[in-house]
Amino acid sequence: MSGVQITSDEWILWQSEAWPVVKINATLTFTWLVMALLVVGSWWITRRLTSDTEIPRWQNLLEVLVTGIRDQIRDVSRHDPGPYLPFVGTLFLFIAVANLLSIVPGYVPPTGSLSTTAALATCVFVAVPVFGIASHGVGNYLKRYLQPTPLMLPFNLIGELSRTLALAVRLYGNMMSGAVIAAILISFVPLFIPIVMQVMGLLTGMIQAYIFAVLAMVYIASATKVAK
Amino acid sequence: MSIDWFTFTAQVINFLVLVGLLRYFLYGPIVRAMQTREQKVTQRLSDAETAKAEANQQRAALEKQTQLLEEQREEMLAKAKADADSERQRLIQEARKEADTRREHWTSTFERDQKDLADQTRRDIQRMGFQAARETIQQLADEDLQKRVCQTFVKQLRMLDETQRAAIATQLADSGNPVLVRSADDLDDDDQTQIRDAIHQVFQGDAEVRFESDSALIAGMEMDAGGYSLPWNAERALKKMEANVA
Repeated sequence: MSGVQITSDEWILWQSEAWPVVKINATLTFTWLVMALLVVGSWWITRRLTSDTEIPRWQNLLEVLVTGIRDQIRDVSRHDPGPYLPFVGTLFLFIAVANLLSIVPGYVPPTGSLSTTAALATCVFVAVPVFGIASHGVGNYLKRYLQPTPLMLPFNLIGELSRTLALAVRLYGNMMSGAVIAAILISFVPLFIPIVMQVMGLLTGMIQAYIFAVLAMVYIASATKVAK
Repeated sequence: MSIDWFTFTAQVINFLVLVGLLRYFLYGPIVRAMQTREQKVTQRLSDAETAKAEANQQRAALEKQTQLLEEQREEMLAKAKADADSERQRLIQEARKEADTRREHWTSTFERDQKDLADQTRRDIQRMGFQAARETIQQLADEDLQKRVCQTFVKQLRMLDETQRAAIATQLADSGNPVLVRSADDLDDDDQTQIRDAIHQVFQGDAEVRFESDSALIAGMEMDAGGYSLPWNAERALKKMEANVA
């Protein structure tokens, strides 16, 4: 097990000599790769959008994706999905694409890094009050932590933190476990089984992307619902 | 298993950048395109609804118009039929009237012709009958008959009533004209004397008496005295009989 890199954070490609903290590891590199793929792909497809009844298949794919995300957001929040779409949709697309690319040999999904999942969970952690306050103001939002009684304030705060932690660890654990199990199995059974595991990994990756995005939306929805 | 805080920070920034980029390159354009398409579809549906409503209106109007035309046609047809019926009745009536008129005309003409023919026939028969009577009487009119006629005339003269005698006498006396006696044949002197005497006696005067012969009298005698006439002859009797027969 000693040769197995369990996190891409430790795969360092470049490090500043002046500030050793500043380094470019595989996590950041693959993250940028995923970002580039998403942005360039979106730009490539959306530069020639049409609003006719007949549309190109790539535009159709994107429309199906965006419509699906909007429907999910609407189902969960019972609100107009417009304001939440960029945040929740990007969470889903980023995690999904990052996980899907794991079928590429040599690629390590950045979602298998606790730093990445923690960063994403932190973004959700911050976004929840941001959306809540944006919808209904600071006072109304903060009253939520005193419900049903001020005695519940510590528990509400703990719940807020713990669910963020759970978000981060859930995604990290699932993705890392997939990578670790695949690595272990490769050392024992080099043929066939790893392929099955890859397929399982893809499925897990998609499910995790969906879970992460939907949970984020649930938290945001609960924050925006509270003030009513 | 530990969190690399530089990576953590970088990933937060990365994620936020990605949100911004995707918002600009993906969600915005795609949502706008879909909304535009939805608007177009809505617009087309609304246009289609409008067009459908217009079509329905036009159809209703056309149906109404058609119904109106149909009603007008029926009305005109009924009117034409009624007109034709009345015209037919009128023509039939006219024809009947004309036929009646003609029949009446023919009937009257026929009756008139028939009557004329009957009249003519009757007249011819009368004429022939009286002609035969005249001829028979003329053939019988010899001197004896003349004398008998003369005697009968005198007898009649004497049988005049007083009123007639007085009137004729007064007339003769006032006018002073002669008394004219006409007979079918010339009278001999005895007969003339007998008649003259009878006249003088009956009218009690001595008026001049002239005698003339007229074969048209057939057999008989006539006296014309100052406007009064005393006829006795076969012609007159026959004419009287003819008048009675007619």
